[in-house]
Amino acid sequence: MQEDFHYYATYCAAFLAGYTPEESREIAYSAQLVDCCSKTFIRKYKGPVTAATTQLQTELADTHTNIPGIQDITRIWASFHFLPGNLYAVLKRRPRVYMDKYRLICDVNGPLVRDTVILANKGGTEACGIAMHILADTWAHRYFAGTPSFVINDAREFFELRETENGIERIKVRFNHNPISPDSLEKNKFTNCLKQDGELSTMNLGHGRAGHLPDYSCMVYEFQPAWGDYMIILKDNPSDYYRAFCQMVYAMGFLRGEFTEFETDRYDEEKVQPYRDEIMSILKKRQLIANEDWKSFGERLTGTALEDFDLQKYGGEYMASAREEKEHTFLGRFFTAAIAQKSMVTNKIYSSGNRIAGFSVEQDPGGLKGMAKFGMTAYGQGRGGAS
Amino acid sequence: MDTENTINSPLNIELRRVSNYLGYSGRAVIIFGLWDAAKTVIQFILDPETFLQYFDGGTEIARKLAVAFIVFIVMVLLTVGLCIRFFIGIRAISEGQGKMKSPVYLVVTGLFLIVNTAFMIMDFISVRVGHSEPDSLLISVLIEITSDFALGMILYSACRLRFLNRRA
Repeated sequence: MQEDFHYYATYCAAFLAGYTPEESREIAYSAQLVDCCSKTFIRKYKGPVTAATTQLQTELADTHTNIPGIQDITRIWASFHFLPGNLYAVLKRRPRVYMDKYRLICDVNGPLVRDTVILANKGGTEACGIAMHILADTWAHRYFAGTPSFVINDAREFFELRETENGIERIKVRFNHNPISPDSLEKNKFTNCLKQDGELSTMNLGHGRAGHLPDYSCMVYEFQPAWGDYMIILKDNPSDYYRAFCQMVYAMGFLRGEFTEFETDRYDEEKVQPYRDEIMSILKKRQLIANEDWKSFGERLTGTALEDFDLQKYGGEYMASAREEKEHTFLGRFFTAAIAQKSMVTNKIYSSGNRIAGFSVEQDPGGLKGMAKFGMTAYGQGRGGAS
Repeated sequence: MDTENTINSPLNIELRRVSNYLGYSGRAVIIFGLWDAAKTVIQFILDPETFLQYFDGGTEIARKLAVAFIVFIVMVLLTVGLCIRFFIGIRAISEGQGKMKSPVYLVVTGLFLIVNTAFMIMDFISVRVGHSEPDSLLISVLIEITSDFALGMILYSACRLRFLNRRA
């Protein structure tokens, strides 16, 4: 997903869930910040690099795919962009090394989605935004894993299923590997990662082999994932994105105290129903990014102007704060929530017997085990381990 | 959901798997053909004595004529072999992609497999009579076995594909 959904659509969903326009904007900002909070960004503000929620292409190019490198990549991508669907999935006749990766495949409505939303319940709008980013990404990034793996993330035989006057047309998707070549919906040409059969190549991270197809809300397509053993996956992005939107409204309703328990596979379609046609028309419109449409919908919905996403907006406040005050700033709270999320997911992966994300012990603010007072530790030292 | 169930029925999955085998085996046959040609040309350039060992006697002119004759024969055999392999490989890839289906190339594949196997057996015999070195033969036989495996896979996959298509 891109800025259109993580920022503008999340803003709309938060407002529909009952948040004020200002709270909704904070949630949306936090949700979008997950895609920008790299180590480079954090270092700029002298924050805790363990709070990184993404990696820039340059950072990935710099990362070694040795054990610590893979653990770092997996902690970031599996925690924030490819939340594993089932850490205890079972397949017959597969070795452990394969199953460890297979179990990291992202999917919707897994137990970790519930854990993520419940964890966000302890935080403010920043934690809520992070949780909404992760929840929404489970819909866009399902079927890919947040760890470099050729045997899992390679994919082939992409066909777009386009509605035409003559019914549904099956059009072959053409990929090139030039990173500066823009994607074209008209010519059906997209950019994807180069095929690298090295199992741990970062080219095989997440949906790199599918290019940005999972991120475009209008795309309806089919493909064969490497893990699927010749199975064809049909991916209907408009429908999936709509469900993501309804689930976000429900999840934020829970975070506001509207529901006592968070249940997976539950959607607040009642609140969204009056706007269904408009939302679906935005999602189905053939365009690479729908910022303007979502922004206009959000402004009409709330009756308030919505500023564009500005990455530097809260940096000054964080830099100007005294060390002990930093964790009470917007960025400080975001970093704390990000570390908590990363720690929770890493711990769940580790507890399942899977070592790809590294070793972890449960967080314990009491200090008996795990990272004691992780927020203070992170800010106090400026560097450190997330788990 | 029904569409999803149909496209991912065990029969359809098996069809895609076998088509894929056919395509890859076709590519393998072409690559082994190119390797065979490259190997012979390199051998001729680096070690022409291998081909000329039976022409030790005679005048210089007779020797040159023998070289020309051998080059000609080798080139003809290489070209024919390569053409056959390309024919088999391209047809297998086409059938794997569901474009073309012809029984002719399967007959050619079968014959080629028999000839290839016969040559491999002759190589073994040449070791027994002392014309070849066993260590160099081992490598060549391993490659030949892999090449024959690719040819065998084409026969198996094409037959299986036809059988599955009849059931579909």
